[in-house]
Amino acid sequence: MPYLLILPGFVFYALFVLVPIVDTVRLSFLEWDGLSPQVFVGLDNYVQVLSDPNTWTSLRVSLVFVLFSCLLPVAAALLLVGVIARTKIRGLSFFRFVFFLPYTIALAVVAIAWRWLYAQDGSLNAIIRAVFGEEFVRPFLGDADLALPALGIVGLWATFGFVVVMLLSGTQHIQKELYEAARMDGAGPVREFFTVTLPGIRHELRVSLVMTLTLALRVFDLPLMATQGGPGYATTTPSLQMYRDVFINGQIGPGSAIAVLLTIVIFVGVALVNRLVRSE
Amino acid sequence: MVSRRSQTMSYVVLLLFAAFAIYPFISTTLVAFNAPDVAVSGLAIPREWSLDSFISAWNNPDAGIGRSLLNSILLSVSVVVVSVFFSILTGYAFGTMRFFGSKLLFPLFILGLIVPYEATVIPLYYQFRTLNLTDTYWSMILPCIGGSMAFGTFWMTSFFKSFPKELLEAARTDGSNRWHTLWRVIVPTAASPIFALATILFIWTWNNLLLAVVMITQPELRMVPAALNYFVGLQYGSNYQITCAAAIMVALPVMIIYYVLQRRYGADVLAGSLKG
Repeated sequence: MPYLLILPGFVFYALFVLVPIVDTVRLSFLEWDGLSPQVFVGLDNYVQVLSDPNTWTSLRVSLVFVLFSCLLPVAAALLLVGVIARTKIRGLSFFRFVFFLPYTIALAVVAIAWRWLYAQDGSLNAIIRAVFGEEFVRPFLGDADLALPALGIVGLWATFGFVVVMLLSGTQHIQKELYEAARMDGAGPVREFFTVTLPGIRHELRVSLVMTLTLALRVFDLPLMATQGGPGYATTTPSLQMYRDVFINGQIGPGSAIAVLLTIVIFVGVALVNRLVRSE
Repeated sequence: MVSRRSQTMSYVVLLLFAAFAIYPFISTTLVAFNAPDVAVSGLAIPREWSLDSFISAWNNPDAGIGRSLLNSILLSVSVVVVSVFFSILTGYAFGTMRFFGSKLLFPLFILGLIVPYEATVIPLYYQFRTLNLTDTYWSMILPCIGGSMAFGTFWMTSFFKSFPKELLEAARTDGSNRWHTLWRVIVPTAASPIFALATILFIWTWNNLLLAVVMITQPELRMVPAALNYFVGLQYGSNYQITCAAAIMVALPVMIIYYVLQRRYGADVLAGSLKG
């Protein structure tokens, strides 16, 4: 009976997730253009990919995304939760709705919304023009130095609300007496946060970190639609590089090697988070 | 007692973050209500409110927004229905039964939670191409069901684990077999977690761009995010009125679904469903 129940789900999972992963590893050892016969080339693709400076650029881009779409949103959400966990808030469900809204929107849509916000004539530059003057106006996404942090802020916007809602739902399990006890001990807001709130939401914190870290390392939609990875390679992520290699340039082997390396990086990152933030 | 000052502080912080979250929605909406041929700048509050940008985005024959909405609805609904059904079955097995191999199979499913589509999309594309299935709905539906199983299994298993054991026992002594127990006793009480799962899988499937640009090249079969991507690449990709109007039409269905479901089940359930 249990095997029968698992069977349909497992068949789909095996056919469309497990087998393809193994196949990606296999492809990463081949030279193949999608048409001619496959040639085994050992580690050549990995050597090629790892000696290509663009790979390291894309890894750096990824790490900046980790900062903006994982670490910063989690830090900001912790601050927010720390401030409001101690007080009774009216209309909290309204705020939760608003915060979570960006996460429900496709990143493709998010990219379009922010392209306009960042445009030369867009509203951000209008504010800058009014406050600092014309010489500070920038075409954010077209500027080699600013494009990456600008896109990172979009990532921050897209993931922040998700982390807040996660952490807030964690605070609801914290017993209110713990706060009272801490206050009896004369704990200030900061100590209260570290002794009551933070330990209480450890599980939610870990899940938020894992989810946003995975999202940040593999981000594809945002650079593809907002900047096409440019200017130059300034916002090209490993996912975008892999997509170009395989589906635009027919370089299946190197593209697969990038996919394998990216997956390994994600696994290592998740393992690190799990080590650093233990649930129980 | 918490002082009045820290209460005010909380609201100030909340409002600041809310403004940050809502601002891009406002600026996108405002610019989209300008006619396509009007020069826009700054906040772009329309001098004359016009639906022309929506109309030209909708009517553009190359982008096919209307058609892509239909495609995406078909994709997302079928993926959600099948994945939720399969997830109830796998969750029931892992959550309520002990059997040989479960200690190995369950972690195998959980592994899928962090496997990115990037790790599977290349062989998937070439397999489907060999089977002549690229440029069909199947090339999207089947991988998306497979990709939903890890999360679905994880989510339904934790629900079944928390289901009171006594009720299961009671149903068994009543002589109802396991299949009937599942559908007559358990599932009717599980509307909330099941709907939460459905919502989140819907959002993920609807928003999947990588698979959509790889598997589908025919304009009539394009999914919504791919249609938007195509739209941005067109000659008027820099016409912000039209691209923003298109983006709004595409985002609206998901926002409505999210609004309705969170009214019913609370944003919390949705967030809870994301505990990956």
